[in-house]
Amino acid sequence: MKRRRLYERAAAVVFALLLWQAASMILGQQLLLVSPVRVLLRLGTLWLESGFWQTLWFSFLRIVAGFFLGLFLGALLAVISSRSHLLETMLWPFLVAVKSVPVASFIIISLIWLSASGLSVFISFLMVFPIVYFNVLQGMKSTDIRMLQMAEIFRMPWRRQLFYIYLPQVRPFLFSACSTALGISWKAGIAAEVIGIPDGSIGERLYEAKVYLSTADLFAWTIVIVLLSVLFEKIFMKFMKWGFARLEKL
Amino acid sequence: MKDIVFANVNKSFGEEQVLKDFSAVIKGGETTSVMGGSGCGKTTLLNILMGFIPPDAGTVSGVPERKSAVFQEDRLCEAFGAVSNVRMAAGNRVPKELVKEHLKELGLKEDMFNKPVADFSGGMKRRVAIARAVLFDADILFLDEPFKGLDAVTRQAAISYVRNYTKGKTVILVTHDEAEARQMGGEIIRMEQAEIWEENDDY
Repeated sequence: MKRRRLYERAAAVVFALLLWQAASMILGQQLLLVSPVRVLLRLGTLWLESGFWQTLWFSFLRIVAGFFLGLFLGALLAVISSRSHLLETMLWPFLVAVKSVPVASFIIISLIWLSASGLSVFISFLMVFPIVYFNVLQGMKSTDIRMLQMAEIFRMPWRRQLFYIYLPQVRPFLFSACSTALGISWKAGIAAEVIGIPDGSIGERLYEAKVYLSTADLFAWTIVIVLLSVLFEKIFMKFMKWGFARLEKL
Repeated sequence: MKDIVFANVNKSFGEEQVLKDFSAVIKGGETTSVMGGSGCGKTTLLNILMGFIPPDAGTVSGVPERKSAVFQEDRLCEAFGAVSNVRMAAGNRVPKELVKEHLKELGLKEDMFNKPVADFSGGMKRRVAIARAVLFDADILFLDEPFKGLDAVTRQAAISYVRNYTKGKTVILVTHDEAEARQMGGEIIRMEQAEIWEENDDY
């Protein structure tokens, strides 16, 4: 069944690529719609160019740093908010603002305060923080009251409650938050780089591709971003699962 | 150990009055079984004693500070193993080996000790909950139908185990099963007639 689904998906990808190739051939203008074959050829040479790995590392480091910062602070403040109504209320207007203001506005405002190279860290953080915060808070609040009564009877210290009762409860909320936040952090982080154009970033490469009308470069770098984001998400989620499994065996 | 005294305790949930002028004395340091049909207020009584709900009227005095319980629905942390579930309540001062000995005494097999309790049968979970309540250093134990779902042999072993390790403590057992109450020894309160006490001379 699983194998069949895999074949079906592979077939769907091949069909999409064929459609793309056909559209590109019909248009006949590589500038407007580059063919997948050309993009593949460009990808083949892109990673050999000097500075490719440095560019990748530059953006990866910053976006991932923003993600971890958002994950850590979002989870920490959600845990504190679950016990402090005052903090929850005080944070509410900031979080609603972050959730509703367009990311482009934040990028432009942030450019006034921050250097272009630090911009993607901040924007990635800003996108991840509310997602993690709201999800973890919801998980903490949906903890079974009967389990909390059990903890009260056995006089479980708060740290032990957090580990044995809240953590398993929050787990699915945290996984879902991370899965959503990872994708968004890459999208927003790269958007910040395209607007801020920090030297040596993927965003700068995308900007140059636009300026020099190099559609093949634009598509090739986009594929690199998607691969990087998917790879990091897979590794991170596996690590999370492993981490939780280890904790439960303690 | 002090006696627990209920004086004219009333408790209602909406229109339904569960406890009406309930008065009783539960002897400290002894076992008392509370019996009665479904909905007669046995669990409400335990919830008041455990401090989860306040009575609407009347007073309850003499309840020790350090409490332990076997809840009707186990209330175990499903993702964790049996030993972890006991130690999360009893604390790390209780050695793992001691926990394992207690679990073995309750008939749990050693290869199950570290498996998540989510994989356990209802009876196995019950026994973990019993070990957790017994190993927690408390002056009073609340047992809300603790032997429910256990087969005859396991139930007998669990009753002996609880009797063995709770000597000198106040134990309040809520049950439907008269034989179970008699095997646990001590006094029996029948909730339908809260004022009438029956001495259990079987033990």
